[in-house]
Amino acid sequence: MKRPAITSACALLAALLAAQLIATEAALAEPYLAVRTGFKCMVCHVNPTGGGKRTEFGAIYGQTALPASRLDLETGESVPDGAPDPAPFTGKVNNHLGFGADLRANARATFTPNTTPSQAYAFDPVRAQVYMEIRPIVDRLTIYLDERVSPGAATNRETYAMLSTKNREWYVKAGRMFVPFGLRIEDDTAFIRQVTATSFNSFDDGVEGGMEMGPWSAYVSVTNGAGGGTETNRGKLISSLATYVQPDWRVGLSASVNFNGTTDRRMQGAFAGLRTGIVSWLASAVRVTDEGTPTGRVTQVATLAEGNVEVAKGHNLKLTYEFLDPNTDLSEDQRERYSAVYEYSPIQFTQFRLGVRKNNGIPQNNAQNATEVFLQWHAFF
Amino acid sequence: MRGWISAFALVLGACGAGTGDGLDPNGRPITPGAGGGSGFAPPGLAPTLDSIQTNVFSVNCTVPGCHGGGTVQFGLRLDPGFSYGNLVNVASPRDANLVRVIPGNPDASFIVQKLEGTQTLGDRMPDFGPYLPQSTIDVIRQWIANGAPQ
Repeated sequence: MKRPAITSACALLAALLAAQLIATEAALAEPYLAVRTGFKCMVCHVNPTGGGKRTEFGAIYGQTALPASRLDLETGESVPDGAPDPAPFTGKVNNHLGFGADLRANARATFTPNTTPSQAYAFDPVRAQVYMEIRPIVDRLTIYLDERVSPGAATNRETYAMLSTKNREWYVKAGRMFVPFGLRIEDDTAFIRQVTATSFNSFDDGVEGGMEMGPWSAYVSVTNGAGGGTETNRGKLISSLATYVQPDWRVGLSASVNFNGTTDRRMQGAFAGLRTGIVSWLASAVRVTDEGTPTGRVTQVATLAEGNVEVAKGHNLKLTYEFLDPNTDLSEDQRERYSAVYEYSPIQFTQFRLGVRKNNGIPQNNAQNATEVFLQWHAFF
Repeated sequence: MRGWISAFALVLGACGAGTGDGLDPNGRPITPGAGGGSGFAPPGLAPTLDSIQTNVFSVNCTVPGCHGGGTVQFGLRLDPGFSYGNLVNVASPRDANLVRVIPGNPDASFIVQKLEGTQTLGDRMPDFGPYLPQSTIDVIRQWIANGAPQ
């Protein structure tokens, strides 16, 4: 079956329009924080490609710029506006050792049409990670561990050794890692993360090289391509990401191939970020082509457009639209998702997120048309 | 700026979800005898790996990016030739105590818990549904109870 050109055209148009908006407005990146601040991922995260343990700078930023108000960490008393920042807690033990953690407790209500019962309420298993950064040679050699301690038994997500040049413009790392591809947003259920299998559930074993020069960042990894599972073939997953970062905007391109002889996968992605006043915009489009599936070649397209409004210090409103065409050769199988999430950071190390997500899919699939309401407590340092 | 936002919203609203015409609940073209969502096990489904592969895994699970193709979730590739090695006596990378298929013990097998929705670790499978009819899951249970032969 041939899908109507109008649908793919409007998805493309949405992505292009977002990119156009980013490219032409007065220049003024989670990735939205990077867009808001104009920083590269490596400024706030130990992992140059983002996510996981925060750097000392990132930890201090999270305690000073993010929360609506601050408490003195020793006395628990409020710090008045205008008073000097209280001494931060960054998880740094000394120049050679530091720790970090993320914990997300989530309560969720799901409303699924034409299903009995149509409502489900659940406390999701808590998600928690702990991080350890060992720097035997400061700024040159890092040994990094990212361990998921819940849900279930402890699972290693990232463990690598990273060797950097003196000016930190070049690095190479080896071990288990998240491969560099596209926008590494927090929501693992986003279409652009699901279809590319580049979520925080998808780590892999191999090597990665990276470059940080001026506004440019570029990363290339070679990994098993087995999603952390047992390698079963001679082919490898080669994934790349290049980003150009300016204080008020950024653009990035990604490409990836995973050849294994029978079921090859190719992925391309583009993304952009723009800050316009109190709004930080993100847009991303990915295209994934799989060969050798039971139904032959399958091409998927997913897009995301997101606006983050900094309502006030410590308050962020996130509005997101997502589109997914799970098979461009089929018509009328497209899905979309609308999300509105209010993020409130009352004090240091704490963020509350209240969100609603409306899924629109094919009418004969009830779960594809479910509505979700969730409340999350994110604690971190 | 307001014009840009309005135009953007208009384009987004114009995309829309598919009508699902000519598709089964999995979003795949309707083909006679295909399983999933009918409330009944596919005709001919038997408690053997070959039969489960053909009628269940290859129909419902091997979606590229999920459990099909070279890049899969949690290393669990369920394409023909890969399923046995990734399932039987293999622990989930999320929890070493959760073994995907324990020959002879369907109740304790992680795959059954994920299909029946009794496992709180992660979402019920297939993700976003439609979930397998119990009669289909019972065939998988029988295969496991028989020792999960290759």
